[in-house]
Amino acid sequence: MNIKEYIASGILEQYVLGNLSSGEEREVLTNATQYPEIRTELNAIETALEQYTMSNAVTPPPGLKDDILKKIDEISSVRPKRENEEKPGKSGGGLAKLLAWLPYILLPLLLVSAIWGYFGYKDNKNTEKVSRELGQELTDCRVERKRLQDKIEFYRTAIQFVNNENTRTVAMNGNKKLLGASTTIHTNLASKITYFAVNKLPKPPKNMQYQLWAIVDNTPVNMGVFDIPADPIAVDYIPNAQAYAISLEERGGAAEPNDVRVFGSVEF
Amino acid sequence: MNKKHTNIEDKIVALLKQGDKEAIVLLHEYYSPALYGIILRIVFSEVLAQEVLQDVFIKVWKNSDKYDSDKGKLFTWLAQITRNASKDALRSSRYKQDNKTDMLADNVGNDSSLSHVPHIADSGLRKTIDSLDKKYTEIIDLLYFQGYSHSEAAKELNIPVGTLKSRTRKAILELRRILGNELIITLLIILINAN
Repeated sequence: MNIKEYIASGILEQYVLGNLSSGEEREVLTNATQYPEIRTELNAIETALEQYTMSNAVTPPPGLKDDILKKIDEISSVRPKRENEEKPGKSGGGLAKLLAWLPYILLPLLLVSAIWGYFGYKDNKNTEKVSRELGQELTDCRVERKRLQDKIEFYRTAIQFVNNENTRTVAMNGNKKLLGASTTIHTNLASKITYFAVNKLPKPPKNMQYQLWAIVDNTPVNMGVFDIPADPIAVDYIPNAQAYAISLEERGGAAEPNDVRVFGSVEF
Repeated sequence: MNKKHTNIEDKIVALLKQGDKEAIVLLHEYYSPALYGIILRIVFSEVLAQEVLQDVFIKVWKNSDKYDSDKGKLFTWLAQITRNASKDALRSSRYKQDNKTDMLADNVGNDSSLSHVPHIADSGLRKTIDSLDKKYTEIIDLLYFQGYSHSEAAKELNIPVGTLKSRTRKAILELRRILGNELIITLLIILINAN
């Protein structure tokens, strides 16, 4: 299977968006288990959409949490509750009399509380507003904390990738024609993932483009043209590459490198 | 670079599997604003949205044994349940509305104590996302927030399904770029190279 083509087909995005049939979903899962780069890609898509959703988060009104917990309690213990409710009905007698008097006892209490409630209303509204604002602030903090946690997790993953015993780093430097240019290739031999990062590279002249090459047994292998990426990009994994090079070509690239500007050998 | 889980996610999943209600407390704490945000995008009524959010938590609780971390992140599962519940609620409220025209209109935002101004949780992140091309946000919004199928979204945007699919991928790639996950790698690589 051509993993790059598979990823580029957009099927993983559809998987995360829940737009696949169950058969297709199974296929994606099998592939994700088999190929780590597919799993990595899936994770990245999920994380991006999760963060996007976080940016659109809205705090639900305060009392809702209690309602939810109450409902969960209800569905978790439906039976015991019903048994308890039946008991008072059966015991009749004195209790029934008391129940008959209940409205007369409750009515005055209700009146008092209504008056109390009326005067307390304004205060309450104010408190409600303050508590809602505080609730919102708390949510903001939590969302921010979650985002930072994700970020830390990402740092950890990135450090693991770069420091992984199977990751090889190739520093590529500009030659005489492009002094000071610097790019890096990070290849993980186990997961067969390669990242290409531009550290310093001048903008190419108009109608020109840089093209990345791997050198395998003195033969250049085309890894594609690129416009200077701000972030590292995943590129083809080329097994047995002895060196990497960047040439300056006419827009669209060339079949063979014509004007090599940046070069770096793999150290063994 | 395998499974990426934050600790809190693992904790919630473990509690859910044990049937511990603490899972719901934590889920509410960490995810309810995000899920509520999705619901509001679909149902547009706060009264209905609150019902749907309750419904979502009940569904999560009842189906907790169905979550499988091999299939994806907890949030992806939650978002899927949320989208489906919202769409169902919208459908049945429309149905009710057809039969009883005042149903929704009377309930929407009239009670000032119930309606509170939707608040965007993280303005920094929001600003970053605002720099995303509208062409891309509208696609993500339709598919992810409003739960459109590909064919529905293609119809809505008046483009072929094939174009929609490739644009979806571009949109999410662009989103990933903007969210700067990979930017962090750049910094790291620069740092590591400098040493």
